[in-house]
Amino acid sequence: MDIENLTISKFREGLKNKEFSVSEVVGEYLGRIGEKNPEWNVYLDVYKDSAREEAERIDQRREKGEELPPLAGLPLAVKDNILISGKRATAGSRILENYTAAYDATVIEKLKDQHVVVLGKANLDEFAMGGSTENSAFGPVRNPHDPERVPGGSSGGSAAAVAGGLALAALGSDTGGSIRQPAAFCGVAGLRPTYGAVSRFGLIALGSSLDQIGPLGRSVRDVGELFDVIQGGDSLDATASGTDRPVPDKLDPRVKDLVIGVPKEYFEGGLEESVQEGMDEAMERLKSLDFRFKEISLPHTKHAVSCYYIILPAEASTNLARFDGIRYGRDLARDAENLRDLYVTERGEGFGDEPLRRILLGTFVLSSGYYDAYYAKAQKVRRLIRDDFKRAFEDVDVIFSPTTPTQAFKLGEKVSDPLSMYLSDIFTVPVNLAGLPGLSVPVKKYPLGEGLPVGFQLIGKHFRENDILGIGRYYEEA
Amino acid sequence: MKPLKEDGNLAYMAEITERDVEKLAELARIRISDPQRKRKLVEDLKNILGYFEELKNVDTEGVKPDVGGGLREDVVRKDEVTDSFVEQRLKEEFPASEGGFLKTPPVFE
Repeated sequence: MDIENLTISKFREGLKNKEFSVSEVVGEYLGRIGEKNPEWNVYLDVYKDSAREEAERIDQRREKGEELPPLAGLPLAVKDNILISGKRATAGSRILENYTAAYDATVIEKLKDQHVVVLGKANLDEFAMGGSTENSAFGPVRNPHDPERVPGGSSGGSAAAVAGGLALAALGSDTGGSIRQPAAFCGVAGLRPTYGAVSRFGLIALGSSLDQIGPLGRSVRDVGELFDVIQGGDSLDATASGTDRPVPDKLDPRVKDLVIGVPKEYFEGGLEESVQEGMDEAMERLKSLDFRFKEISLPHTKHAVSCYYIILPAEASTNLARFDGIRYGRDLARDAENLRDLYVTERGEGFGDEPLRRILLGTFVLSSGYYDAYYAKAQKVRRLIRDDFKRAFEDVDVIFSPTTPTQAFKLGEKVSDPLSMYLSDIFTVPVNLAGLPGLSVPVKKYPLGEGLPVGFQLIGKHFRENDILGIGRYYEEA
Repeated sequence: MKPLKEDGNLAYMAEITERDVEKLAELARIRISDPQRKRKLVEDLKNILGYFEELKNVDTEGVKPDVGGGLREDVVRKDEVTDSFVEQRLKEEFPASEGGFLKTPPVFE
């Protein structure tokens, strides 16, 4: 079984043709995890027993000839900020080290209805804050393409699991690029859906006006298939409406009529040479498929990082106020003299450096003397960024850009300089600020050990995931 | 933590000090006991806030603040009491409880 080249459709076909059973595939993944995880640190928890049991149950039902849902048996990694009932959910933080989820996230409920097999919980930057997975309290993740380099973040474990053949697909979350950037660094496909397309119920909240759950996979087609299953409205998340546009299972020729915009601001210097070459290659290929390009302008792009790193910490400092050391399973500082003493001790010891930085930053920008200069100003700039996209989408249907300015960097290269880490989010954060869907597609196939990946990004109109997924599929399959 | 520099009507932070970081940590209910951790925070916040000053040059005259979110507005549901099946399991996550209530150290000394 060629596990490094497996896709969802090949998996399904193999099951149908009795080339392998779900148990065999799951066993293969668990074996590889046992071998590689000590080095790559992709999984925080591996569910050997429950994965094997679920796989056997599915095999038995298949043998009886039962009709099972299309994703039945799919071996999946789940980012550890998404709740699975009865399983630990750490969000990569010491403060949640002993926290066991009391219920399933809505996306997990939907995937359980499909009978997927969850292999384990994937490592991440603490509370999904970071772009390298070096901020995990449980150690950094290594990039399977080059273990000296980061896999990106914050969904670094999810992306590395898919790239390294430790899961067939994965769930991540994307607040400022946390699905797309690691997908680009690891050479896999990753979709950040439109704000409101997928329920966030059961996602440990980071920035509530920005967060979305989305899929990572070995192909655009795989990502589309997972998105189709997890999207939808939810009475438990008032922001979730779903899309009511099913993802086509075949190539959709209608996307050939879409015009692709190229924002000049995204190409004005600062791109690593290898990334520029990747963009040239991707555009050439799309042009050879008869896609039409048009230059556009998104003039406020250069302010997106400031805007994002004011708004996000403001929301994060608020969301993280609930972690008080009392309610989420941490052993209390029992000798605390009073409640306040307990709070400051637990939070001081429980949060790592990046959450601490962002909580203080958020507290600062929301404080009365500075609110107008920072938070209120950032909200206005957010409007300008959203309006840039609105204007651009009057002229074009989809926007093309690099996902990241560089390829995967080395461990330790940026971790002590948070500002330089923030600045590398320049191409992904505008999408979150505007609530749009964004897809990262690998420029080509990147077998392990044969060079570092580059990814390009397709940005769509609100709820038009099918436009970007459709173009991405032509790119990969036509 | 007084606003140190005036730019029109807006107050920007000119120089963040260790004292300011202590004040913010106090407001956020976090104790930073390691002096090196504190010094690094001062340095990082100085850099980051310094970078944000580029926003001064953006003309936002008459622009309505964007509070984010999606296209939906005013989503409401009926205010009804329902049985929460997870209540017991949530309580099991309390590190300490008594008679079904969350137990904490005293609020007042």
